[in-house]
This record gives sequence, C-alpha cells and structure tokens, in this order.
Amino acid sequence: MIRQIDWREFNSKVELLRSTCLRIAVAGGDNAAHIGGALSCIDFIAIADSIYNFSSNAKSMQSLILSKGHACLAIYALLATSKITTIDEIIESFEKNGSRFLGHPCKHQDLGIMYSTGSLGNGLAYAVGQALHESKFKKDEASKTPIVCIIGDGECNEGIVWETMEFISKLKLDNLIIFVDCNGWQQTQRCLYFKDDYKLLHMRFNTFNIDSYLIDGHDYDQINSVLNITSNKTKVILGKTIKGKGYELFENNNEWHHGILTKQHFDEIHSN
Amino acid sequence: MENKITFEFSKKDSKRANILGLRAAYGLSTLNCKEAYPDLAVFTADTSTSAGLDRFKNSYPDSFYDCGIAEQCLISSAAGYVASGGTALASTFAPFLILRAAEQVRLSLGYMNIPLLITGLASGLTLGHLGYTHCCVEDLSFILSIPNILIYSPSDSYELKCILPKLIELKRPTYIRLTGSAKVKAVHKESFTTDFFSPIHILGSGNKLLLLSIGTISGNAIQALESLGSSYLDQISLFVVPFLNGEKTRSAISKLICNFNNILVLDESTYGGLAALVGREILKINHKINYAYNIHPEYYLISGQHDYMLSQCKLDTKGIKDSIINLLE
Repeated sequence: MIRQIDWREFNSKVELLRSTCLRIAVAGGDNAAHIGGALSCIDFIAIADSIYNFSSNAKSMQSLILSKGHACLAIYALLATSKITTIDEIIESFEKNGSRFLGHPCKHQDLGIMYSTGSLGNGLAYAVGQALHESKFKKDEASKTPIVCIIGDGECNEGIVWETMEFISKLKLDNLIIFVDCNGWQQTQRCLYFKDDYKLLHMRFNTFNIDSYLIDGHDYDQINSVLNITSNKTKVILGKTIKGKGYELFENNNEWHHGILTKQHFDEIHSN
Repeated sequence: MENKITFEFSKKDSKRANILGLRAAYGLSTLNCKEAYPDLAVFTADTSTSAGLDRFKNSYPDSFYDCGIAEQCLISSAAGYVASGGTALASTFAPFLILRAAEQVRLSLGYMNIPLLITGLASGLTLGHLGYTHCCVEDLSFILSIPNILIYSPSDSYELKCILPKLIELKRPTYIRLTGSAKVKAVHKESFTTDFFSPIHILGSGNKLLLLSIGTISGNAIQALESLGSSYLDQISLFVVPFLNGEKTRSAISKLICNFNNILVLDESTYGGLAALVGREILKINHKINYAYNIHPEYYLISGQHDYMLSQCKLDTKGIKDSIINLLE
C-alpha cells in the first residue's frame, strides 16, 4: 500500500526512532551496539516506512531488508514503534541470552525479519530472489509494495554486491529499490568512494541497466521524490548521509561505529 | 515427510537413464520435476550446458535464471526466491558451489534453514584431468559440519531420476552431490526402498564384511564383488549410502555396523566424509571392528583422468578388490 506522508507528524516519528535506537543501545550494555550506521539510515527508513507502511504488520515488514545488518538498531526501533512487538521486549532482551534481538538481525518472520543478515552483501542477493519471486507470482495489490533493501557504502567492498548487480542488470525487476547508505565510513576507515563525493560509485552503479540517483540522504523531499518516481527498472538510491546523524556526540565520529552507550551518555544527550 | 518409498525397478528406464552420466540425467530429470512442480525454478551460474539444463532453459525460459559466473549470488538469490515461497534448484560445479560460496551455503541452508536444493556438478575426482581447481574432495567434510542440510549423493542415474522429484517434495535444505563421468555403471538392478536416511542394501548376504559406498564409485564396488565370485559374495554385504541425513543416518549406520567384524568404506571425499562418520559410530559403540577405508588421501594427488585418480585412491575395481581380499584373508 502506498501512502502520502503526513509531514506534520513526520519529524516526531524520526525523533522517536532516533531516541529509540539509543534506548536499545543502552540496553546492550557492555556488549556494545552499532550506533553510527543505524542513525545514518533512519531518515530513509522513516520515509520509506511512511510511504510503504512496512511496520503495519510482520508480513509487510518482510519487504524491508536490512543488508547492512549491523545497523539493526534502526530496524529494532521501527519494530519497537509498531504493533509487531513492544519496546519493552526489545529493551529487555537486546543482545541477551535467547533473545530474538541480537546484535545483527536474525530471521524471525513473525517479526518481519526475513533473513539473518550481518554477513555483508548477502541481503542484497536475498532481496533480488525475493523480488524475482514476487514479481512472478504476486500480482495482487500487495505486489505494489516494492522490496526495499538497505546496503552500506562500506558493504560495497564485497564482491557479492557486484555479482548481484550484474544479475539485476539482466532481470527486469521494477519492484526492487536499493538504498545505499553512503555515510562515508566503514569500521576502521573512510570509505573508498567518499573521496570523490560518491561520483565514482554512482558511475559504477549506472553501468548496470538500473535507474540510479545520488541524493542527500537526509533531505526528506529528495528521498520522497525519488521513491515516488515511476520506473520500470530497479532503482538504486545513493543517499549521502552522516554517520551518527542527529547527535553531536556521534556525528562523523567513527568511534561510535560500535560502542558502549551508557545511561549517563543517554541522559546527557537528551538533557541538551 | 520422510516416509519410506519403494521404487519399482524398470530395466528399460534404468538402461535409458544410465546411458547418461549424472549431470545429463539431472538436467533431464528437472524437466519431469517441472511438470510435477510447476512453480519450480532453476538457477545456474553459467553452467546450463554442463548441468544438462539446456532443454529446461529452452522449455521454461521464464523459470530459468542464469546469474553468470557468480556463485555467491547464485546461492543467496535462489535462497531469497525460496524464502519468499518459491521452489528452486541451484546448480554449478561442486568446488565453486560449495567452497567458493561456502558462507552463503552455511547461512542460507544451515543457519536460516531455507529449503533450497543445491546441486554440485562433477564432485569428487570427476574432473581430475582439469586439475584440483575443478575437483571437490572437501564438500562432504564441509557440508557434514553444517547442521540442517540433507546430503544426497546418487549411486547411479536411474536412482537420481527416481529420487529428485521426492527431494523437491521434502522441502528441506539439500545438497545434491553428483559424481562420476559421462556414463555410469548401473547400481540398482532391482526395486529399492529408501527412508531418505538409511543405507540401501545392494548386493551380497554375508556377515563377514560390510562394504559401504557413496556416489557412483558404488558401480566399481559391484564390479569388484562380481569379479571376486560367489565365495566372496557369501561373506560380504554391499550397502550404498546415498543419504547423509544427520543423526538419523548416524543411528542407522550404527545399527548396521554392529552386525559385522570387518568394514570397508569407499568414498571419493577426504577423511572428513563418510569414512569419518562411520569411524565415529564405531568408536561410540566400542565395537572391535576391523575398519578400513579407501578414500581420497589427505593431500592433493597428481591429477589425471577420473579412472586414474580413482586407482590412486584404490577406488577403482582393482583397488576395491584388493582391499576386500586383504580384509578377509
């Protein structure tokens, strides 16, 4: 189901998602959590969810695939603010023994988590297989909801990403949208493609018989406009984002790629 | 459901199937499977001809997906297809399918338990003449270390033709391991019953030596026994082990080996395959068994034709025959 965004409520939705990410991260305690890469893709996830209503139920949620699985806080925050599960369950169990909410998403289709991701690159190929099956067999109203897959710019180091892009170039998948979260960082260094402001990466994607767009990944209008463009090809959206977006402590500070967020940190952030 | 199924033997069908190697038989069998399972899709990595899949490709172009020489993408995209409700076979040469895409196999078929069927072409030493880049003696060791995956290694082309549709019906993560060259020796010469985990009795009624064999080398075992004559056949029982199905198979093998004092295992894979599995069961039951195995050694041989490679591992007819004589005398 495709919806118009209610912009009056949207800012508070995004704020809630960001602060929920941090609440869950605090619950991880000494196990630490991947904070920066979750916050960089929150804006895109919030807009995609507002348009396609992924979080309305587990079935719809299965169309949102987080290939950069370490950013699971973003998906858990979306689930926490939905009716699929509760914030309490997530906070009580995040990264704990026997939990459904580990430090990378684990396949729980009743939560709408279709695949166990975290091994980078695979989520994109799963998304292609899923889009292929749905384009072939699901001709009903639900098929109008595309498969949306989120990958990272660091993830583009992986060979399977490019294997899969070649496969996509052969297929006519108009029901697949790939968002590349170009936050400029990977675990220990700047991303290769950051150096030229993602021109090379954009050119690279453009060779694959897809529609690609290089946008500001925090600009709501740009994200919304690109998602609403009608296309008969797979859409690849390279969104230039800021790792740790939304909080001075985290923004462009790669020490928070994976860090321990204390209650004290959390209170200080929210007292400002 | 893994119920017992009996396949009535058809001499005509067996002859027709075994003229073909397993790869060609696999390709042709997919056509029959498509008729029974219309939603079946076949994924490949630029190996449609090598897998005998050209007829499928031409007959069902909308259900045939070639992702190019991209094995990791092959496994994960086919897994995504199956996870969203489809039925799929994904095939390419065994070393690239299992070793290059090892992690994708582990995640999709093992960790996530996605009921995708993957088919490794020309496993074992089949392509020895192309060098070890194209051999795969490590696949059983690797797949046996992953929980959840059913392994099926056909003994002959007729058996594959019978079993393949049933594997699709099982809806389990499955590794189909094809060995042998262009023409296979017939192993099944009468009706056979399978429960998808137990060894299948083929020849002999003796209780002195248990011969356990996997894949198309079972044909060599039959030839060896036939050339040894009836005095040996009375002492030996030959079972093929087409299915390696976790604890069920281990348990079935455990029960079987209790009845014998001598065991010989025949396997094209390295020590981590069937030989290791049988060895573990012997240890568990603390049975004083005289145990031998003709398997690929724990180093890479000088490569050559399949028959030459098998002879170096004592998996050719002569090697098997010599091992039997050694064990019994």
